[in-house]
Amino acid sequence: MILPEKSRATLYLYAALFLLGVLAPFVVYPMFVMKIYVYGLFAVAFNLLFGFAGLLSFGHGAFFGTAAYATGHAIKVWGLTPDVGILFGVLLGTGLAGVVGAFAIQRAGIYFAMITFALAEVVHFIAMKMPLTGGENGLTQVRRGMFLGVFDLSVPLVMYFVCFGIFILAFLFFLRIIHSPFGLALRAMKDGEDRAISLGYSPPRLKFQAFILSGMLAALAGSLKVVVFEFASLSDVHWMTSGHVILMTLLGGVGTYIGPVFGSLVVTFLEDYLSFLGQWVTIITGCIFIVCVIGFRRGVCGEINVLYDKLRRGRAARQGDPDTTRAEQAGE
Amino acid sequence: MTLSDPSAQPVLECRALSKSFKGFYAVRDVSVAIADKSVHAVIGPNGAGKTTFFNLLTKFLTPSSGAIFYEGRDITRESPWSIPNMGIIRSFQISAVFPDLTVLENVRVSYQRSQGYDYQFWVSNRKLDDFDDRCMAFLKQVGLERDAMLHAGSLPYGRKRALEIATTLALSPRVMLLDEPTAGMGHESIGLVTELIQEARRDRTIVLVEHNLDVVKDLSDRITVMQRGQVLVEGSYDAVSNDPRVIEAYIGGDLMEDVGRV
Ligand SMILES: Nc1ncnc2c1ncn2[C@@H]1O[C@H](COP(=O)(O)OP(=O)(O)O)[C@@H](O)[C@H]1O
Ligand SMILES: [Mg+2]
Repeated sequence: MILPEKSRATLYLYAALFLLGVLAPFVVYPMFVMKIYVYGLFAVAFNLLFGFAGLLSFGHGAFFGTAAYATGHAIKVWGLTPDVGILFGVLLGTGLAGVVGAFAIQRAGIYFAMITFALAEVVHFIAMKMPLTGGENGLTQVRRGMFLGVFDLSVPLVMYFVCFGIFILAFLFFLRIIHSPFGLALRAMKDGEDRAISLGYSPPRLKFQAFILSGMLAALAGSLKVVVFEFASLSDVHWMTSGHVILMTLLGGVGTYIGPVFGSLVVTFLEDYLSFLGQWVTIITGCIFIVCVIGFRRGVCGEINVLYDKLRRGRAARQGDPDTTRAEQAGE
Repeated sequence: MTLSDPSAQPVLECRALSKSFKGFYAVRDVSVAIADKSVHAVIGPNGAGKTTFFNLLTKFLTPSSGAIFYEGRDITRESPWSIPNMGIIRSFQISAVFPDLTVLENVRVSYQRSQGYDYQFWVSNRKLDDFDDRCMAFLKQVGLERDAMLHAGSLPYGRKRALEIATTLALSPRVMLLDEPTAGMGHESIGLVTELIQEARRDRTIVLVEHNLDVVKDLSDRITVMQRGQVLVEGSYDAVSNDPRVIEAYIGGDLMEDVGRV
């Protein structure tokens, strides 16, 4: 059968990536890898909405940044532990996503994007004016503390594996959403809204639910960000952050599973390892983006998927053809 | 042909239904009662308002005036996605499958809905794997079991229509509204679809828009002829085909060529 073979290949891939993740902090700077996870998770959240519901949000930075501020504030000012802080940030970010989503899903296409953009700008403005965000200075020196009472996050390796663990759980949650009755209905709606209605699915409800789940994962990424980097700033709620996540997703592959994480890896690598180039990084990123959009529209992982399918089909065809099979056996 | 008891309550009924697009009436003052477990055909020239009529019945369009009743209940104000949940399922004139989903997934998204699985994001599809067996049975019914893993978009036209019927059947609807199910089909496929409808009609009501009059003749208990948004005649096939107004309308050049002889 076709499907099991493909899912087996995917399983091997995930196992290999997991191993890489375990070994990574001993080879490269843990902060660098954690940054990939934080923005990778953010991009996965964005992709859930864009890649699977077909809704392009231009305001996801609002959920990411709000959660970052909320978690940072809870830890720094209220003295809460990071686990409770993260929970608080996710709740607040999800609540905000509920409000923004309720407005945005009333419209489709470019109007949807504009509403999310406008509401995110409102959030940015509020963050700028509110004293407890620290304004231009940001919310700094957020001490990590003890996670679940046992993990001392001030130890870099402990922080790494907690971050890795949260990332994996969140990614598994994403996979569950995609491979659920809801996930199937969502993909169906993206494919043909009228047809989905005629089967009894309510597009507003599907969209709203997707928006909330996506906002929730984006908020989790933001909360994770403030714990890992120990600060939140205006740039987290800025529209540039919303744009960044679109770039990562497109780069890695819209509608793929692990693609957005790969996009995060590429962008983070460019930013951190080419930072000596200063402003040029932005231009290089821009150029890569253009090449991506023109050259391989499905993104890196999307193209790999297509290639894999092609190879498999080629192989299947060859196996089905007795002449070729015999020739191959003779060759061996 | 099954004879339906005219005194029984119609399963679906509309009264004085109208729809105007900026002053142009696509459907005007249409009153039709669909008897339970009957096949009711709606015929008429292109532009007569048949598709608009379907869109009104399924709430894809909001009527300008008039009312719709299902099992005696007023459903004029319902949302389009609540209609299928009452047991009324429509198909589209232009074939509507989910092209990026596999053939099996097309049926599955429909079948899971009938089993009460729709918005649950925490349930694993793997837990519902036995759905696949049921869905394969639906596919087998329309001869698509070998195409289950293909993307629906890659199917030839006739098979797309067959898939559409399979997804409709997977919801076990009480009423099926089929908008030109045999349009653009070859002789063989038309036979297959006719058989499917014969099979489906046994325990449900079917409203059928159809250009192929042979199909209409074979299947229908009752026929409504529409013209310029209005009901011209309604009755049995024999009554309708002998009605001078219908003959005039069909010969009067107002009609599409492919209709043939009435
Ligand atoms: N959305 C719309 N806006 C304006 N006119 C429409 C619309 N939909 C249908 N019409 C018009 O209504 C008439 C009936 O169309 P339709 O219901 O598709 O006819 P049929 O299905 O019988 O061929 C046509 O003249 C068509 O141009
Ligand atoms: Mg039509």
